[in-house]
Amino acid sequence: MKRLALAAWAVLSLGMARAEPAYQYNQDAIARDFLWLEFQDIPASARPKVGVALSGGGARGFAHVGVMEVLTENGFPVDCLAGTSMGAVVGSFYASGVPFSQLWKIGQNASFSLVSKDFNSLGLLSLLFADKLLSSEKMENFINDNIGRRTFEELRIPFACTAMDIKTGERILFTEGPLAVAVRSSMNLPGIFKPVHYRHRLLVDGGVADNIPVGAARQLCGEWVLASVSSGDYGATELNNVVSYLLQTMDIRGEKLAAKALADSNFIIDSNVRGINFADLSKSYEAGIIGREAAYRRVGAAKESLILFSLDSIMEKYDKDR
Amino acid sequence: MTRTASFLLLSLLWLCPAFVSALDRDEAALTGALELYEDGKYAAAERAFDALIQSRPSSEVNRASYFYMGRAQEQLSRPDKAIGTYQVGGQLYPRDLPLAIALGTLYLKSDLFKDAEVHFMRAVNIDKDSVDAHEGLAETYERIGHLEWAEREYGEAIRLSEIPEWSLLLKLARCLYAQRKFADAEAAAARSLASGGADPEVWRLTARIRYERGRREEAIGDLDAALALAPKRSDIALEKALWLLSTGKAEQSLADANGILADDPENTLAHFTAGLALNALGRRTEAAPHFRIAAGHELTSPFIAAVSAKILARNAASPR
Repeated sequence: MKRLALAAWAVLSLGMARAEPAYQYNQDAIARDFLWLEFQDIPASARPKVGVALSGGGARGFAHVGVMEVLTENGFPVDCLAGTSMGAVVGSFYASGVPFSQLWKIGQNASFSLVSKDFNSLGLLSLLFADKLLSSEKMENFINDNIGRRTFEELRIPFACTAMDIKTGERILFTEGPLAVAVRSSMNLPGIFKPVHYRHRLLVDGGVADNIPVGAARQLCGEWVLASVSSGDYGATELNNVVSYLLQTMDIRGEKLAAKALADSNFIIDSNVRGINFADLSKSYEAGIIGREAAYRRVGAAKESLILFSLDSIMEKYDKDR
Repeated sequence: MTRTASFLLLSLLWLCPAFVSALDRDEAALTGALELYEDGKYAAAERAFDALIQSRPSSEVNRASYFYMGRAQEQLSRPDKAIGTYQVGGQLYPRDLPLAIALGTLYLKSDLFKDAEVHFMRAVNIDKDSVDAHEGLAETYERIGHLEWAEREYGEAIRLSEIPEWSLLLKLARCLYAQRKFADAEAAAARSLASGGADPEVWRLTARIRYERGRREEAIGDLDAALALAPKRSDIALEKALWLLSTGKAEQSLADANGILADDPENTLAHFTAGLALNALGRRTEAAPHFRIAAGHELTSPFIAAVSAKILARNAASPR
C-alpha cells in the first residue's frame, strides 16, 4: 500500500502545482499603462472632459453600477454624467457620491415596490380593468431617502437626466432643480405609471425619446463620451401579459432610436445582459455583476481610446520646443 | 455457526488473496504508467492510464489514473481531451479534490472563467481548508474582474497557508493594486519579498504601486532591483526608460532605449520610447524615423502604432 499512498501524495502535490498565471505585459500594455499614468497626471483643466452616458433598460440598466465601479477603479475621470431611466437612477446616485457598496445593496433588494406602492396584483388589475394608471411617487421618496433632498446644483459632478413630454413628444433634459422628481420622471414608464406633472409638463420615461443620452453628456461637458449600454434580447423575453408586451415595445423602440447616439459616442461598453428581462428588477444585482465583467474586459481598450483622444494634452510634456 | 455463515467465511478466505493480488496488479500498473509520465513519455502514459482505467482497478488507482491521464493529455497539448477526462473522473468521484482543481485550472487556462468558477467552488465545497481551491477561485474571480471577491479568496488562501507562498502574496498584492488599494498592496508586496519572492515581477509590482503613490524615484529604483534579477528583460528596462522620461531624464531614457535597439533593432516599444525621448529633447527630426518604424508595427502592437502615427501627424502639422 506504500506505493498507493505515494501515488495519492503525488496526485495531491500535482494539484497544488497549478500553473502560475502569466502576467506578462505586452508592449502595448506597457505603453498604455505609462501613457495612462501620464494622462492621470494632467490637471482636469488641461485635458479633454470625459462624459459618461448611461442608457435605459429597466433591470438591465443596473449593469451601469458595475461599469461605473470598474471605471472608478481604473482612475477614469468622470467629469459629467447623463442618464436615462435606470441610467438616471444609477447616475444620480453616482453623482451624489453614494458609495458603490450601498448601490450593490440596493441592487440586491430592488423590486418594483421601491418604485410604486401600487405595483402589485391589485394595482395591475385596476390598471387593466379600470384604466387607472399606477403612481410612481414612491420612487421620489426612494431617491430622497437614499441621497437626501438634493438639487442638481448640489451634486459633486454635473449630471443630467432625460424624460419625455407625453403631450408634445419633446425630449426634456433635466440639469437643474430638484433631483428626485427628475429621476422619477426619467424612469416613469408610460402606460403603466401616471405621467409626472411638473412645470406644466406631463413627463414619462426618457427611454422613449433618448435611451442613450450621449448628446446630453456632450451638452453637459463631454468632449470624449463613453456610452454604457444594456441591450436586451427581445427573443428571450416571455410575453405573457399586456404589461410585458407594452414594456417590450418601449424597450425595442428606445433601442432602435438610440442607434445614432451610439454612433456619436467615442467608446461603448455594452454589458451582455440580454438574458435579463427589462421588468425583472429582482435581477438588478445580477445585471450589475454582468456589467462589471463587461467593463473589466473593455476597460483597457477604453483607456487606449481616451489616450489617443487626449494625445495633444499628454504630449505637451514632451514638446520641449513648444 | 450456521451453514450460510460458514459458507460466507470460507468464500471471504478464498477471495482475500485474489483481492490482494488485484491490488498488487493495480499498483504495479499504476507505477509503470507513472514512470512513463515522469519520464515525459506522455503519449505512452496516456495509453497506459487508459488501459488501467479499462481494467476496472480499485477506486484509488482509478482516481489517480483519471487525474494523470488528464495531465498527460494536457502535456500533449490536448486540453479538449483532458477536460473530458477530468469531467468523467469528476462525475465518478464528485468529492475528489485534485480532479476538481485540475478541471478548474484547465478551464482557467482556457479562459473559460465561468466553468472554472463552478469547479473551484466545487473544490472549496469539498475541502473548505484547501489553499489551492481558494487560490484557484481567487484567480478566476480576478480574471473575470471581481476583484473584491478575489481579494477575499486570496486572503482565505493566505490564512490557510502555514507559510504563505511568495507567489500567493504577489497575487494578493496585484489584486489590491488593481483596486487602487495602494497601501495594502505595497504591504502585501513587501510580505511577498520577505517570503523569498526574489522574482522580478514582485519588484515590478512594487515599482508600479510606488509610482502610483507618487514615489517615482523609489519606483525607478525598484525597477533597477527587478532588472538586477532579470537583466535581459527588455520589457522592464523599457518601462524604466519610460518612467525616466516622465521624471525629466530624457537623455538617460534615450540611452536605455538605444541600448535595447542595439540588440533588437525592430523592438517597437524601444522605438516608441526613443521617439518620445528625442521629442522631449527637441530633436523631432531624429524622433520621426523611430515613430515611423513603430507606426509600421500595427499588426503586433496596434496601440503603439496608432499613437506613433498620431504623433507623427501632429509633429508634421506643426513643425518647428
